[in-house]
Amino acid sequence: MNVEEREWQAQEAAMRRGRSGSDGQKLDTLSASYLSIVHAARQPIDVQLPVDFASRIALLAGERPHTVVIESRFERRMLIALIGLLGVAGLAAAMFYGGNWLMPSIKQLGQIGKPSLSLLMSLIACLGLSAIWQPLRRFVPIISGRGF
Amino acid sequence: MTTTPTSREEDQALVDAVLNGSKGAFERLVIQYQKLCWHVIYRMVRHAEDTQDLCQEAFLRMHQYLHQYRYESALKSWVAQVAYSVAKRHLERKRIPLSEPSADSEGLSPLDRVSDDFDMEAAGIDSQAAGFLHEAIDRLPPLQRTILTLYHLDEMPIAEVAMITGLAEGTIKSHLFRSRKQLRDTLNDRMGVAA
Repeated sequence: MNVEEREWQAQEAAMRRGRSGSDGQKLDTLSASYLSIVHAARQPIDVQLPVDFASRIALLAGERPHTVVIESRFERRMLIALIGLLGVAGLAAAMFYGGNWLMPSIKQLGQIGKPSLSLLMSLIACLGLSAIWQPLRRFVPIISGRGF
Repeated sequence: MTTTPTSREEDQALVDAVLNGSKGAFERLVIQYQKLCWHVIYRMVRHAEDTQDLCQEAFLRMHQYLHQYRYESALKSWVAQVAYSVAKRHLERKRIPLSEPSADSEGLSPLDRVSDDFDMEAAGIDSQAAGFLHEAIDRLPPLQRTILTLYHLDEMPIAEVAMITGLAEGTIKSHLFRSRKQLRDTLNDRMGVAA
């Protein structure tokens, strides 16, 4: 364990002691030297908000156009409508084509076992994009929806 | 702890209630998280009146963007993330640097700027140290102060602090390590001089 690692472990030991609040386990000198830092960092901060802050904010929020709910309800209604449309389209296709669509579909499925190079490349590109998406979100606020 | 831990189900019920416009739901959300919001913003801006205004702005933004919350993290973390984002933008507008990794423009570490007129003789050694440390924490750059508070006072895991600030976990650890070491070393120097 190098010096920095030992120092970090000491800081963390003091942090754990601060959180547990117990004096049970004896701390080594280095860890103990961080106790006062931990205690100071854990001191409650005086919250100077008026007592009616929450009700005032709720009132203000209520006065603003609630795009959130509208959008949320809109999304929900769109989802239901699209599922309904998909069902109707499926039913209509089944009625119109009868069983004629079944064999070509099975044939198409058979092709999946022998993918072309371009299809494989596309699949690799999709998987690659998905893999880098999460780390990318951390660094690019607009992607992670941190545009609040 | 700032807020009592809530389960994902409780978070979801509260968010659904707000999105469905249930009476009093948003007020409940504000009551539950106003303390955390204050911690984050006050540690960033260090000005009570500004903090109050920014808390208001943060909660109104939460109300506006709550539909974007996807339960990928605890609601508490999302709230802190919005509060941090609002405070960060405020500091950027005022051109206040978020982080000073080594020394400031005058060549002094932020801790070196702790006032020398702090009365070391007037109190006992423990309260001397506590008083000095509070002042020293207050003098840390905004980012370091906030990370220290989220980790120690709000008892958030490093991964959550990283998510809130949009920084890598390694960066959070590095800030924590350096801030705590700097505080300890400065305290030792100061108390050694006093003794």
